[in-house]
Amino acid sequence: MAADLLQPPSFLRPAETLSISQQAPHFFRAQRPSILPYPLSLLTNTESQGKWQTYENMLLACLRTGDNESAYVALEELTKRFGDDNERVQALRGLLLESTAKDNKDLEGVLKSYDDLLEEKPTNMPIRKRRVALLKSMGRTADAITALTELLDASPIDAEAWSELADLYLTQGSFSQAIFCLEEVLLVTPNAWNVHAKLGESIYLSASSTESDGDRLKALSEAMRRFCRSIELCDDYLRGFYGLKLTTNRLLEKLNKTSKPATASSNALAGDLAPPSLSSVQRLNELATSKLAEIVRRSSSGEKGWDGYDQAEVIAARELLDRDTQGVQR
Amino acid sequence: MHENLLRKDNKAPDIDTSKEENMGLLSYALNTFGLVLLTHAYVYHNKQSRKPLTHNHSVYSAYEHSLLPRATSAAPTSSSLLSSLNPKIDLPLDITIETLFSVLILCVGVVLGSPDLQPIQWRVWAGKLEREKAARSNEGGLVGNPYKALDERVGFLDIRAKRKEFAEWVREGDKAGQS
Repeated sequence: MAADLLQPPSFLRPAETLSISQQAPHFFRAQRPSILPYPLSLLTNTESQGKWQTYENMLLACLRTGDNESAYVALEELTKRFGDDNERVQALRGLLLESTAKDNKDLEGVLKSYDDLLEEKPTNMPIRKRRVALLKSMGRTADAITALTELLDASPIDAEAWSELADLYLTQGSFSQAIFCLEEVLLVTPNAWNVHAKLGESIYLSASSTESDGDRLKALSEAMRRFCRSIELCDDYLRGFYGLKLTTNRLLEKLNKTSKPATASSNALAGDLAPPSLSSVQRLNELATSKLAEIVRRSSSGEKGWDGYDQAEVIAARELLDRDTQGVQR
Repeated sequence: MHENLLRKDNKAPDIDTSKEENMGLLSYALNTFGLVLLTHAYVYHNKQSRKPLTHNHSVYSAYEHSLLPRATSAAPTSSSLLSSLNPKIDLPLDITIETLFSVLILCVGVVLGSPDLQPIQWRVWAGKLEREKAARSNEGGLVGNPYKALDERVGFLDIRAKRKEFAEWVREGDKAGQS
């Protein structure tokens, strides 16, 4: 259980979050400071490495389940320990206010308080991020994007913010901006296999929206390369293999249709690569199919050491494979 | 095609666990056997000692035995440094063989009984994180996927949407419980 408590609850499923928030009252009682006088109280000190992380996660879990009283207790403890002007505590306080806000007017009030805090100290990053999140939550996506680009101007190595901006652009359907943001994330964290996969997905989406045939081929091969990189960085990566299968399916259709394959790069000066050959795409497609089949098989038979996949993802992969076999049979 | 694969080796987990247990038992047996042999070699060695035993410390008496020839010889022919570097020990051959054999067995036992190695290749480590739930917990000093924070950004947590999602989950759970 302690392991779960050290992970932010947004990573967890609702049932797990509920079980954590139900422990909260008991947990706070156990963590209460001792009543012994000063030198003796050091002996019974409960402050450990993970304590305050646990408090923060408890607070987030309680907010998510709607247990505002326990959340308030946790926030009070954090304020007592780190002070009222701690930026992280301020952001958590804002989170509590946001989640207890009844209507839009309350939310405007919270937004106003964020603006006041930023007036006082413009480098307050947690609050700037909260402000963006609140704008997004209120449906003012354009404002959120503007605020976020300002934040990134000030701090261009914040991978989390670049990733959030990419997501915002994706919701707006501006693929090229989203792709740019994800590439920025990769500059900061070049080994993040999930970002490689996400970039592949974004390029795949942008390929569907382009008109010209050549551009689409280029985008699809680029997406394929991104997915290849993600599975190069991570064995048995379901998301990467799924994307690889999807893109190579599309690429095979495309390459089969075009009579003469372009062997040279379209724009060598810009560093563009030539589209992949038909045989290599075919081999990649076969690899992705066999790997997906293996993952689906082992995960659904509950094999030891294969329990980490999300069930929804496994079902989606199975459907993709089924669709493929039906196509072959017809 | 994967339908066939699905049916194949469903029994694999059972075989794996029994194999692991066997390995543990084997290494345990080897270690015990090796230790018994090693102790025996020292005790045996002790009995062979010509010097009367003053105490029961067997390892120490082996050392004493090694000093014996030098103590009995009338005059050391070479310098004392050389003789201490190259002591003349007349250990019976069976003791030597027994000692070497027991150490060999102990080595094999310890190697067999060692815990699984942690991955040192990036893709293997990352694949383990994706595949196994156990690898994601903080136990054993391994932290979970460090890049998950790029997918689920806590700094930009949309708490109102999360609350709504949770409330819906509760409502659906109620419905599922009733039906």
